[in-house]
Amino acid sequence: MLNRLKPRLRALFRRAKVEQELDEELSYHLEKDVQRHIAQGMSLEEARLAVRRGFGNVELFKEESRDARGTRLFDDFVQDVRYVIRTLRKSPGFTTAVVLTLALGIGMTTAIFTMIHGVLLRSLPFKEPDRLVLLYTVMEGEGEYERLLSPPNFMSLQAEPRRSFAEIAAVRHTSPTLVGVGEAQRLEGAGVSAGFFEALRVRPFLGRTFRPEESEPGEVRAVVLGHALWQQQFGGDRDIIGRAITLDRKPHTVVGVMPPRFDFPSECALWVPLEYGGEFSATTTAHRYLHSVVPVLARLRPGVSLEAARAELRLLGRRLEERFPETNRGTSFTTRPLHEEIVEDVRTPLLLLFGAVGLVLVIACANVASLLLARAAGRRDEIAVRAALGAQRGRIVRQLVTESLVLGLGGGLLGLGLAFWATDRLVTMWPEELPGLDAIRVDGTVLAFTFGIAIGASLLAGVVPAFRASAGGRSATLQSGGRSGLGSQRGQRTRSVLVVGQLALAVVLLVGAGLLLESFARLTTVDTGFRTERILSFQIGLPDTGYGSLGQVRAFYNQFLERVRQQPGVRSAATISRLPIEQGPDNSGFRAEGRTLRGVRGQRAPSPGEEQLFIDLRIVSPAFFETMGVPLLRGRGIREQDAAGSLPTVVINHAAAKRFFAGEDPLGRRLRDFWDDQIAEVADAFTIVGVVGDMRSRRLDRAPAPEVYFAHAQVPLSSMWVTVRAAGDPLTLTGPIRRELKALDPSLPVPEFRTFEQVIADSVSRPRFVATLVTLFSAVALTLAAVGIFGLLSFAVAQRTHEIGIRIALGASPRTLVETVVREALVLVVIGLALGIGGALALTRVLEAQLYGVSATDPVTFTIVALVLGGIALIASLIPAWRAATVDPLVALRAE
Amino acid sequence: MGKNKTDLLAGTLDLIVLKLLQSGPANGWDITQRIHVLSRDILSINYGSLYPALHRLEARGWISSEWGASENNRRAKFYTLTAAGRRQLAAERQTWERFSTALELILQTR
Repeated sequence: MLNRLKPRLRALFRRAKVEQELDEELSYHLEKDVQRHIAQGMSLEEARLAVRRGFGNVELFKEESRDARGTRLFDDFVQDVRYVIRTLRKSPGFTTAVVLTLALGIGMTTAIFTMIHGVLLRSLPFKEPDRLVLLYTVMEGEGEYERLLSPPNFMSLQAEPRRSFAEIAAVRHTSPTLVGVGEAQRLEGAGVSAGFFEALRVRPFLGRTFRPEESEPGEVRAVVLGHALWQQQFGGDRDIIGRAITLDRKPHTVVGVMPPRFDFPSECALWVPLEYGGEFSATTTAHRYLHSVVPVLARLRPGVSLEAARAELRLLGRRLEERFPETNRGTSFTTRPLHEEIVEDVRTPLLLLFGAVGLVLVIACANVASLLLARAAGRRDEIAVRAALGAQRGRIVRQLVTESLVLGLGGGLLGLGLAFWATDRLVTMWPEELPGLDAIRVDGTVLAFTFGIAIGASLLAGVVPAFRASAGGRSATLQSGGRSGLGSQRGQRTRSVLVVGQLALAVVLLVGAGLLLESFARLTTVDTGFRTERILSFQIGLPDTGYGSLGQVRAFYNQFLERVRQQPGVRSAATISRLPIEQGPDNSGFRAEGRTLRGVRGQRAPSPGEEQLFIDLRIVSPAFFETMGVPLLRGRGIREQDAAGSLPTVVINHAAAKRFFAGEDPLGRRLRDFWDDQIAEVADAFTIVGVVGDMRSRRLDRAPAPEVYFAHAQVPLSSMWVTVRAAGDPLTLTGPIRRELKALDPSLPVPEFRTFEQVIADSVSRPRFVATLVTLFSAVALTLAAVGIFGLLSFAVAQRTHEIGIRIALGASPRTLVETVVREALVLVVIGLALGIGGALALTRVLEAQLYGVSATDPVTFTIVALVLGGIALIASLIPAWRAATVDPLVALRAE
Repeated sequence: MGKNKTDLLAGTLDLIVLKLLQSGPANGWDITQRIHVLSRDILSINYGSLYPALHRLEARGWISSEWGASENNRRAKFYTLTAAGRRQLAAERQTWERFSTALELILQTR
């Protein structure tokens, strides 16, 4: 095998040497022949002549020798490529235009593909990642809405015998404060139940992971450090195992360190055992009905399908329903793949961007096709001559396709460079941490993709012009000088198709960009229901130790707010449990007194016929509404007097009043039986003392939901957000606030300060990013399309210079000529716009979920786009038309 | 290339070259001369056919080539029969003999 391969490989890669050897071999042979003739009595002259006579066509049998080596096709290709490079060098303008256009299209497409490949297509960095799933609770009658599991239900599922799942583990976000190592520092961490690391099939880098008994409450708790934290805070000290560290003022023993790339849940610095104390178990009835829900991760056993797992979960759900009828009525479970859940948020924007760059690429190809077409038309004489000399049509087509392949590969290489650069930018600019960030890089698959689209694009752009150019080359072109033959008319038609196609695609892109921009603009100008300017916000989390009692928590916040208020430049300061916009609210079931429905106690599931009411909960301090500028509509706000021991009071928003007390006065009415443990602990019923205006507190693009505000003094949560309204620049307050916090409790970590304008900007950062990118792509597309249309029309006019010259000579006015040319262009523009609008109507529907306040078929956007593009196309046709009309008839007639 | 000389039957050139190389390495010119002499001037090979044939046989792995010195110390390319070539020669020879026997039988019929 090797024997047979070697000469071919040699022929392929050492082509010059092989050719030279062939020459040498032949000259040796000829020399010997001459010698033989001389030996037979000829003179040297005669001998040479005789040999040359018998020699025949050397080139022909050299060719045959090459054929014998099986590399003919390649040799031809190399020859073609050399020829192409020679000819391209002669027209640097054309070459640069084509290569740059392709590089732009290919580069942008590759950059987005790199991200798609890294984020969406690559699997999670765990063993058999497709077996990892998340579990959800499904509530009867709640439609598609799926909730997390309540701890007792999770424990029951973990304890039940089951076929489908190997490990089931709960994961809960925690943010403990690390003290004793440098400055106090708030870390992102996860509380994980036994089986978490086993489910992921990951081993620690050092030490061990948790033992089941470590989930039991104890004096000293175990902790596993992330590699980054271990490196940064503990200098990568290998003796760390067994050492005590202090988290939230409690001693923890380091039992292990995870490997460098292990990052789950994402950006997690450390892991502690998830501890529910003795509160819940697999058999308790309490808290089973949707209390303090928790994300649950599981690993499917080998060979178990998602469907089979779901079927078993339904079965397990029914079993729990029988055992806990009070709480689990109508409750079942389901599961979804982990990877899907992780990438869900970024899938649509990424695919959207991919679609957009795909369109840009197609427009770029159309552009290049028209450039090639124009060039081929210019070279028609050359092609005709070659055809007349006997070149096969296939050979000419191959030559032309080789040309576009060379251009395509050039564009591809340059595009790859562009993609490297752009991918980096995209990843940095992407508004949130991308899942699988490490995986985003240019690798073999990406290279294959780029290579593939480079070839695809050049074929797309090159094949039609190549066939057009070679068609009818032999007779028609030579005779007519290539101006008015059939080939020219067909070329004209191809050009028209290209103009129409580019226009149509540009319309689709521009409409998409227009809709996204419009929706982004509406999003940023939406009435939030509160004043966002000059507000500083930050979070404070008090550890349990030292703030174990409600009184201690209350005292801390009272003192802290008082100190902040005394700072110069502070108008007011308040606390809230969850920051509007920044975080989703806590959602809870409750009962509204006086409504003609049977209430539902949070501890049990609603019976058939009962209605469950839901409301968003927030806990605020007295000055909150004033600080945020939320108007008081009725009654009063939360006051200092609403403290522990006094009447449990709440304020509701306008949406809640409308939803639960339509046409009635809500003041004095009571809301009762909240599911939330901490609120249920305070009181069964809360009296409504006021109604405030609606805030868009969930997301800017969602209408305000019913919301209830509790007094922080009555429900003293230890982790709160502080909002401060400043008289001037809020950021000047960070220093004084930090000082006050340190003075009050030096062990608390330094909070992260953000202005509320920043919070809002961050919340719309993704739509802004997507809209910006799509607009950028559209600008590129628009430029390409405009240049393409201009080029094609100029070319068409130039082709008709002769005809126009005759018309002028016959007395046609410039005006009529301009009108004729522009009218012809307008026909194409109108067709292009019509097709584009049709396409956009069909395609922008995929945008619907990304839009806010504007319909996917928004007539204003469509009209503006049509006007802009129509205008640009008109200008693009006016210039060549004007040039045609002002042509000197004598020059035009001579133009041959 | 006289007109009295016989053109080769298709496919026989390969057999001839393989056979001639059986006795040892040879260069292209040697081969043409030996065909000339051994066929007593009946067969004559055009270089136009010989070199493509040599390269074809080499590409198939039946012969290998090496640069060496000719009898008058000039650089020349020498071809050698490979093991695969030896097997191929045996097979082709058998095929040829069956063919010529069959042809002989047919031509002898009256």
